[in-house]
Amino acid sequence: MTRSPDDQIDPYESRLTRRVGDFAEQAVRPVDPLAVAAAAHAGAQRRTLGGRLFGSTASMSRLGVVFAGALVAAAAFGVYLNAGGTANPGPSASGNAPDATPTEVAGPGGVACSAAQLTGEIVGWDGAAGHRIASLNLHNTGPGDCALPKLLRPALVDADGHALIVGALVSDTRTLTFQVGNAASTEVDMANYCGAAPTAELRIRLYLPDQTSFELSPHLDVPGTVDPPPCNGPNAAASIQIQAVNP
Amino acid sequence: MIDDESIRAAVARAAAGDEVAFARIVAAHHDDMTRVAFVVCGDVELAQEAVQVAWQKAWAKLDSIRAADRLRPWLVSIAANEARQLIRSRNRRWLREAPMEGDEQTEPRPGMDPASRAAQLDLANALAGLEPDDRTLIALRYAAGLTSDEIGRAIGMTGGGVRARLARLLTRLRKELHDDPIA
Repeated sequence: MTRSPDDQIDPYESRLTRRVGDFAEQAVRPVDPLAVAAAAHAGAQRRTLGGRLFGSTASMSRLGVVFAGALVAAAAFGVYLNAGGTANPGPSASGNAPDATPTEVAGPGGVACSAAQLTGEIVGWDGAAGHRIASLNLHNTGPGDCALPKLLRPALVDADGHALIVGALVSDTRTLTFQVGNAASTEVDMANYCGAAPTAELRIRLYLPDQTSFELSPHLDVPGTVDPPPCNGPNAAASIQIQAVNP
Repeated sequence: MIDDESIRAAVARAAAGDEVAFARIVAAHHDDMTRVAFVVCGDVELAQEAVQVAWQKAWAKLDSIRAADRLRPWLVSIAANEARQLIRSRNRRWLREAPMEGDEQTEPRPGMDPASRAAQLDLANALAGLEPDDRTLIALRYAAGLTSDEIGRAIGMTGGGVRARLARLLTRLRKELHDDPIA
């Protein structure tokens, strides 16, 4: 709803305010504030990085040169791994593993999974030393196989969709090929929620790199109460972290 | 509507990188920013793009906001500026054409009577004839409801200068829109 200015210049202003307000209303669309915030955060980081690397008039060609350099470096790193080197943290990229398990790839591989084709449920909710650990099962409902990020950005949300804790942006670009009908699993570790009592029941929201998301509700068989992690200290930050997705 | 204390707390947390707090600010101001950007550029998609870029800039500079009551004028003026920049960078004119019969892209919103539709088109045409600076003034004043002093701070003018310019614009729009002198 458009507001009226409180220092009127002319009586005609109230009429114009209504006209402009009605006119401008056609541009308003419902948005997910958290997704907008996440995109703003990611965009601001890109701008900062871009500014540091290239200044405000960076050309895409210069960016392309750097990207090509990064590809060369990544290829060289792959040669090093195949020669017996190790990479930390986390599992290294695999080569041509001849097994039937989903394929892990470094960087974008295949068609990226969309939020519309992903579902899942919370199958465990365990408490340990001030933490809550949610065990998640993920499913690819199709229509096709897709590349699922190994690390997804998690958020703990309440029944009204309000985010209680949101995980950090994910920079890891590894993906696995998620075949239609297959399941994958992961765990989310949460701690130190000191906010207002949330509306039951809690859910886990997982964000894809394009900031679209899907949500997982507790499975009927989850034992105990799906409650937020206890407040360990209001001056400390809440945290939520996710393990790499396991096929 | 969130009160000043909540805004201050949300701004402080958001400036420290708290996305949930930033999302509260988005929820409170996104629609106003979209309305302002749309009045400046006249294109829904361009307005939405401008607002998204505006949020990126707001994220990067949120720690520069010291007073809660400056937040809203600051955000809507960023959105207006981004909308102007997008028009300029794409060498586009603010333009809305009258709908053609059977054109689904320009179907009126459900529930809008023909007279209201015609009034909107008249306003769109009148806005199209203004300079971007003047549309920015109109947007900040009549889509966001800012006072003359708030607009002045946002665009680097005095409050008196804003009032004088708005008075001229009101006279022009009233004439072009065939509105009665006293509403």
